[in-house]
Amino acid sequence: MRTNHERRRAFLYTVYGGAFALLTAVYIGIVTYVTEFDTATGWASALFVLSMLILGGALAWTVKAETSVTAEMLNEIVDRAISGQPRQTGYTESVVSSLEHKVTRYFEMSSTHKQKLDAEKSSIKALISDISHQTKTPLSNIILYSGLLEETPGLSTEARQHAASIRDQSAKLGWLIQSLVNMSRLENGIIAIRDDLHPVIGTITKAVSQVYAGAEQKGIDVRIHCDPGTMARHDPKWTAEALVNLLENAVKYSKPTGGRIDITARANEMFTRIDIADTGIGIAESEWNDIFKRFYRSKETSQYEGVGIGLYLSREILTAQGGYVKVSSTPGVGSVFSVFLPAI
Amino acid sequence: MSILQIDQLKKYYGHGVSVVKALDGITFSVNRGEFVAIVGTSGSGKSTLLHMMGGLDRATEGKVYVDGNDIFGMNDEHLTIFRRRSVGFVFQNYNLIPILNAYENIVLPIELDGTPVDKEHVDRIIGALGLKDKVRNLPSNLSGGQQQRVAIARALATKPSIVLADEPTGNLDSKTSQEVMILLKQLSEKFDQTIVMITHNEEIAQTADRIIRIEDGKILARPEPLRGAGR
Repeated sequence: MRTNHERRRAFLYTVYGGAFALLTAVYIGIVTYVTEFDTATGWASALFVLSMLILGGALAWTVKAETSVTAEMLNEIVDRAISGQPRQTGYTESVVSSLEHKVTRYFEMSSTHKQKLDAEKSSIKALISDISHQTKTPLSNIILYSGLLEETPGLSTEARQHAASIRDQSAKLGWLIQSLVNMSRLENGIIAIRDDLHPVIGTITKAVSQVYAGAEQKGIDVRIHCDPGTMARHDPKWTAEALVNLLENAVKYSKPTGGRIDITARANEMFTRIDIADTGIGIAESEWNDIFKRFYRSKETSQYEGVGIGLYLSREILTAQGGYVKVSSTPGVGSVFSVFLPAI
Repeated sequence: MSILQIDQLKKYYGHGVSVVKALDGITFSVNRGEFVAIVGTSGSGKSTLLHMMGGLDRATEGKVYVDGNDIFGMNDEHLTIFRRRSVGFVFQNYNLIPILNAYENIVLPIELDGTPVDKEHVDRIIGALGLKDKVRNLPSNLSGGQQQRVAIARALATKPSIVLADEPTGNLDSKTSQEVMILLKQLSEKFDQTIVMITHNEEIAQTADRIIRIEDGKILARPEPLRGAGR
């Protein structure tokens, strides 16, 4: 397009310039011929041609200046439309005015579209909090009554076991609903994550305290290597939740005896890195990407409990804070999950 | 929607029996906003491929379309302008201008193009790369990681269709390399920026959405599927 345009312009200039030179030469020739080679007439016509040339140049210059004014106007029209200011040309028959109308309409349409999306988002937000709120009461009632049922005197052992199962499964359901609600909140950007500069040691300790009982039961040695001064920009509450998911996995996939979990925090130029190294079953390299996907479960883990949202949630939480999580692992030896939190 | 399309790309050096096939019929496409890593050992043809994508070299056969433009169909002058506006480059050795400070380096390609600087956009990039208090520093006063971050900011400042990174972590230690990779990943998501990176380091490539492996000028096996469901 551009090349065609340039070529056409060069062609037009050549044609006009050529025609002008030819006409001038012919005109001067005729005039001098008619006046039988009178010098004064020759000079006069040369002067005339020269003034015409200057006039023509001035005209061309004016047209060019006008064009650049129009171009600037178009530029301003677009700028005004982007920032939502009122239109400047009003409603006239000019092409510029009609263009401004179209441009303004386009931006109005896209902003209406955005408003619609925002409205949809807030209705999703309302729905999610309704679900989470409305299911809470019946579920805790189920847990409560199954507990009462279990304690009823004169119940057969079998019935007692059934009641206990109901209680366990309900608790699991409660946890699942909470995770799903968190997940959709994170996905829709509904949760406000407040990321300020905090020392990471507090967050790590908080997370470890939630899995410590389970780790002790399995005889796993949990160690934290972290300088109290190591800081990162993060939301302690949510980050602890992400770390709990990683630590729970570390405990779950550790061998029954002699397991060990090392948590190491180090600050670097851009990110503070928290490594969670376990001595568990490990993950094959082909699955390193997949394990962070929603509802993905490795074939190796089918005998373990879980639904496959823990790692997905962790990654969502960390990404929302400008962080990241990755894994490296050797099957049979252990895995290292590395959490990156912005250090500045 | 694909922003980069490579169709049966071939690059041969030499003639007859001594012909060297640097690229031998490469075909793939990259979607808008995708972060793709091209992995291969040295001599696999990955650098040649990147040079073709950026219009730095011409192919023996085949086509490269960036944003629907056949880049080998352009003459040299238009290709230069195309590169300045639509392609952001990040090199292993940063290629910053030593006498300009970080900010001046970042906005240089915009100023070369003669267009006004979108300050808001540039500031967002600088913020995302954690360079806010380094913008007045000369490159010689910045660490390797910081210099590479400035180079990345420069590549993104013009809002290019595609960012091409040639071993961006080649001169950095492994810790900093990891950080630069995470930043590239975040920028690609935050600004919907298409990034194609070449590297010989599999570990580094893990952060990308998709890995394309090439060997002897050909694509090995099928590219891996996109990571992260629903993202």
